Amino acid sequence: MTAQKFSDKRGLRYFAFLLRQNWPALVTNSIVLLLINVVIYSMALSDLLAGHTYIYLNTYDRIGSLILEYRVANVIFAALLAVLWGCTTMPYLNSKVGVNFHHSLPLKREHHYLYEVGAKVLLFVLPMGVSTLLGYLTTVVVAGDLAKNTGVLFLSVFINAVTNFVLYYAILIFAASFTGTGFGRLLTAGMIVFMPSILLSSLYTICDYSARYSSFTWITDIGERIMLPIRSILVAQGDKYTNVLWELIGAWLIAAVFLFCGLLIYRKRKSELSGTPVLSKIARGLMKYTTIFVAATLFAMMMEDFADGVVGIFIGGAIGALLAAMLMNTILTKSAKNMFAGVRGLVISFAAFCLIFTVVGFDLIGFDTYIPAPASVRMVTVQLGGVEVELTDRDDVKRVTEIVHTYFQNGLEENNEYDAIRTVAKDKYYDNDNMTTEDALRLDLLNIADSMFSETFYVRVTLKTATGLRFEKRYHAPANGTHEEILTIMANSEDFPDAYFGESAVYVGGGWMETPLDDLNYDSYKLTETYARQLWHDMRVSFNGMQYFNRPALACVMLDGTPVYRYPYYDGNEDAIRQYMKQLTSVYVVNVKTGEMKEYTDSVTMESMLRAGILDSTTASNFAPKDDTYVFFGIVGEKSNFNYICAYFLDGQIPAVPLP
Amino acid sequence: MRPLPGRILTEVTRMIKIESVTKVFTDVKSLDRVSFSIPSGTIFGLIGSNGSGKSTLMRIMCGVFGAEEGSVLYDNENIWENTKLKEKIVYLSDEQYFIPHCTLADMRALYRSLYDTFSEEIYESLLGTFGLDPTRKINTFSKGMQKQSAVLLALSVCPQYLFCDETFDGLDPVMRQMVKKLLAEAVADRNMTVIIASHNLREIEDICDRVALLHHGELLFNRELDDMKLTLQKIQAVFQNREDADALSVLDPLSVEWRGSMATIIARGTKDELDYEMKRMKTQFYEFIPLTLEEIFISEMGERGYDCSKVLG
Repeated sequence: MTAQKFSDKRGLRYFAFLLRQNWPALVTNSIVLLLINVVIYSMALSDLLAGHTYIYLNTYDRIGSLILEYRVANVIFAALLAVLWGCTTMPYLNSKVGVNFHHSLPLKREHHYLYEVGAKVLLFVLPMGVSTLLGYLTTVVVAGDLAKNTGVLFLSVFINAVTNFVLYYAILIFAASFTGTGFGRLLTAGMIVFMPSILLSSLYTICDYSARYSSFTWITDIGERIMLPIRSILVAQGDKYTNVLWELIGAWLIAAVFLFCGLLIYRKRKSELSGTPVLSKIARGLMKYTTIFVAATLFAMMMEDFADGVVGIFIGGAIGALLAAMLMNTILTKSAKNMFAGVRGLVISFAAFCLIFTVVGFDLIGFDTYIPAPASVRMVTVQLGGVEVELTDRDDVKRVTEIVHTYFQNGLEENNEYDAIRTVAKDKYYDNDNMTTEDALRLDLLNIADSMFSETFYVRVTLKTATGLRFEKRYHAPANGTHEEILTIMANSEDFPDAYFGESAVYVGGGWMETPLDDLNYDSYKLTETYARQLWHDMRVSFNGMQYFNRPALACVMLDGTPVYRYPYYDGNEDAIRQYMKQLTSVYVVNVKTGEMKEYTDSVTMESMLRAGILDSTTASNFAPKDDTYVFFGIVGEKSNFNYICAYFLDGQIPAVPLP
Repeated sequence: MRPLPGRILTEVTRMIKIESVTKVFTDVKSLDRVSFSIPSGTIFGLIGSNGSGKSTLMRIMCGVFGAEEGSVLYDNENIWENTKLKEKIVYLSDEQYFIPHCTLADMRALYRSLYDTFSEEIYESLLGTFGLDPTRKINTFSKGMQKQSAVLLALSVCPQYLFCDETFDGLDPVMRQMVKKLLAEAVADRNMTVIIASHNLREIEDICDRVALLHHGELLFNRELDDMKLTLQKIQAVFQNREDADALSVLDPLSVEWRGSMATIIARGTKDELDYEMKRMKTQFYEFIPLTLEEIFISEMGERGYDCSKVLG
């Protein structure tokens, strides 16, 4: 027998010992997962099949939705368990005596690490696998044929939960190897997960507050990308479970990197440092000065409300920086006596805060007013008058860029803008003679004024250059000025219907998919498109109209109380509505109480029903099913794979229609 | 019962070689180029005051710590991350550590999984000897019982090398003797090598074959106890007249203490040599009495110019 084989056998025996030792964790974990995935799930499934809930979707689809809801529950549980176990794995790292014991045993350090980590992963994966399998079998038994194709959904439940567990656990284990203490590993893991995006959010806050025209959302975009662990939880809530493959692969890669780095550190970790944080000088510095920067930003924004302008920001920044330095010094050295240590670092951090604020605020490098040369821009996204259109036509892109470029070069007509806002604020909205322009701006009346009246457009334009750089500017332009041309370009562009009328919401395989307009449904928007010009002054109807003014919206689809809106309601667009109706292949009416559904294909009946729905004042967002409530919706296409066109909810009888 | 490896390997001359081991903790040099050898089958005493580097050296010898310089070789194999060697070693640290919430039976399972040499027979036998409840959680045991548990498990492994760091502390006198007896039996039966670290000379003088003294991370001394005892004698003598005691200078005594007319003399030489000289003196009475390890060390260290009261804690 070779030494290697001998060692492997011993390792496996040790692994088995660890599994046996952790039986309480296994039992607890199994009970919780069985409760979630079998007991509570089967109760919800029975309730669903009994027709007490979700009557406006077909049962097959609803089972899919139910499973996806439980996927979220599993993912959250997995993340919490990973944090708990991550804090308690290899507890001997907190103890010199414990390290003496473990590292004198006939096991290599990497074996200690791998077996400890592997045991916990297995203790999660086994019950998770069993409980999801039982959940699937429950579905097969209870729902019969309706369980068809739900296997892949249960597989996604399993994969998402395991991925999240491994990802969070890997971060905690890395932190454990890095710090060796319970509190230290929690603090480090928290910093790893949250600090990059918090830091970038702070940077965004400073820049966004300081800049007048530039948007710095690209900073928060980076933060979102960095914050993958949290994103992966969000992914689990997404509907496109089939499209998360790369997200999952990314999460596993990150987990692998953390585990590997944890192993390297564990192997190099000095035993004599057990029980004490061994954060390297660089890591301590990163933690401390990042926190100082974030706190400076936070306090600056708070003080800005109390003190006046720039002075308040700098005073707030200084207070925040000082408090954060004191706090971090105390935490990192475990002694309040050291709270005032590292004055030089504190000064440098605060100086960085001031420098960024000053450079951006006073536009010292000209970034705020920089518009790239029109020839270098390849794509433009314009948000104007409540509509956002991504223009791709070369001529459109060039012309819009030229308009914006010229507008910025000419000084943005700032005075006119201020005067316009002041007029709105003083005469039409607040009617307050004492209100200054600055007051109005502070109250963020730009948006209020823009939404209430049409003196100015709120413009947000994103210019993407050939090199991939994005420049996003936001500003107000007079409604009757140079930007009218942009409106025309937008309305005449091929991108407009897609942008304005959005995408079809299609329910496929247990989840909502958004599909672009295609040949099937594009024609139905053509008539509506012709009314686009009329709509300019009514931009805020449609979805907002439905939501806030309590009106039914054409083609509003409900999912879990969240309206998925895609088509505008417009009071005067009867012709467009008729065109919609002609596209319908079926209208379904569902009795809320019984869940019974009836299909109508006769065009006259369909039209009368939909007109009745349009005239009804009950909205989707306020819908509360009663016994005599019906929901009906029209579809284009096949029932199993269709585009929703509309869904309305009615109390009482629908005129001239035989109801289920 | 599985074969006990100690018996099979008795023919092989094994040795632990500590070669110029240096260990630094931050700014403190805990061990400074310590070199010595420990022959197999001996009970080796590693003594020194608190902070002298005994425990650090033991941890390095067990592969817990790595040395900044030097190496620890078992039959020319380095101990660091050497699982094959570590299987022959059990380390009983000064404070006992057990897997949290474990019973003795659980710990037995752990040791069984890691050490192929684990002997169920010895385990059961020692369990009866110590009278410990294997189903009770070890953290509910008294400190002494926890020590007994650690010794029980260590001996059940049948290691070739057993490291005991202040192991006798916390044991009652009866149990202390019991443990010493068990160690001596294991050495005799299986040629086990025992390394005992202690700051208390009296604890180990009746069991050690060889001792080494560490002081401030340096090795001051490493000798066979018997050699030391053979070349150092303690004599109590009563002289008729105090002047007659002047003849003691012939012995070149390391120390002479007077209590009334009785002198206690420690001198270098064999018993025969000193007996010959004593017979030539005018004594009313004299006898050779056993030296304690402490007395040997005080004498030896005094001769080397160390203040023994500081060297020995």
